[in-house]
Amino acid sequence: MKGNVIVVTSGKGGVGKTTSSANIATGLAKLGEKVCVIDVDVGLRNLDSIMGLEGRVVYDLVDVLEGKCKLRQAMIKDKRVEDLYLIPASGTRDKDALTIDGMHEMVRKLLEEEGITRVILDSPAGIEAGFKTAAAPAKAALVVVNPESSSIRDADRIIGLLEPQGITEVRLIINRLRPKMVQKAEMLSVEDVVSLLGAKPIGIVPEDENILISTNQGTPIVLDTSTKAGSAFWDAARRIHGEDIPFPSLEEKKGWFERFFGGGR
Amino acid sequence: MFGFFNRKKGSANTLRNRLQVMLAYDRAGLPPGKEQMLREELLAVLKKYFPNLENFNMDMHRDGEGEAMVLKADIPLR
Repeated sequence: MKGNVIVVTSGKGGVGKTTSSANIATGLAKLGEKVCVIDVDVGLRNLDSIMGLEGRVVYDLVDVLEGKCKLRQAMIKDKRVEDLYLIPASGTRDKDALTIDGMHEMVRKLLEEEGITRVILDSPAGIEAGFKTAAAPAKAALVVVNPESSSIRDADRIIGLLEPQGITEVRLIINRLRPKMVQKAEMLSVEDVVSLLGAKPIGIVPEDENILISTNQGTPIVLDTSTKAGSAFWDAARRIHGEDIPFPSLEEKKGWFERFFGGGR
Repeated sequence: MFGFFNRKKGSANTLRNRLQVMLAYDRAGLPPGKEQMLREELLAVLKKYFPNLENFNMDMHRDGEGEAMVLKADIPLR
């Protein structure tokens, strides 16, 4: 993906935005990018615990925007992966501090002064102010969707809201796929999701118990590519980074798939 | 017992069809229940100019590129 500022959004909550943000950010950093991932929720802090960094939170996003600390002070450096930083969400519910101008300025500083090459913005659920604030500085978007009724409907809505924000590079992360259910025609296939939403996938992540284990431990699963989800997120990160990684067959209609997405960028 | 399984089979197909319709209406910003009201009001207006008009065909669909929703009406004029 070309955009160096990517918002991770979904509309519907609980579909894997934060997990995706954590894993894509970690994966991109492992690939040599200098990544800062930001939890743009207000009042609900999740990204720090998913990444196992909760014990090191001192300053947060609102502190930065209110000028209570220097930007660098709020950037928690991950100790497992080089050049990976997290700015955690504020624990208080003060929505007013999250201004669009403030977000633009912070992202600018990250890219121009802190040597960051990729900013990942973890958006809150919904289509209101939180999403709009997270999407404001973004040049590209990852829409996380589950092959399920409400998630697809909300994803469609969110996609419709991204274009007026000037975000044209939109890619899907299709999360919690269950290939066996797809084969039995009890779950929508990747082709179904792509066709309904009119957007291209960049990551296809199967349902995997190891994700819960990884969040329990605070270790992003992308660091363990022996797991199905870990290798799926790793492939997604590589595609975002610019590598040509084909999608796995997932025992679906192989021909159609490879014809459409052969390169998978 | 087998009837139960047959009913459950292919639920993804059911959802796909339902979503195609749902997304079309969501994108148009018109709840499906209102489409009939729209049709009746349009007919009332048209009848002022074309008193012989009985009915007309109305269809909502995605345009060629799948970007915008299009409401198309075929109004037979005598």
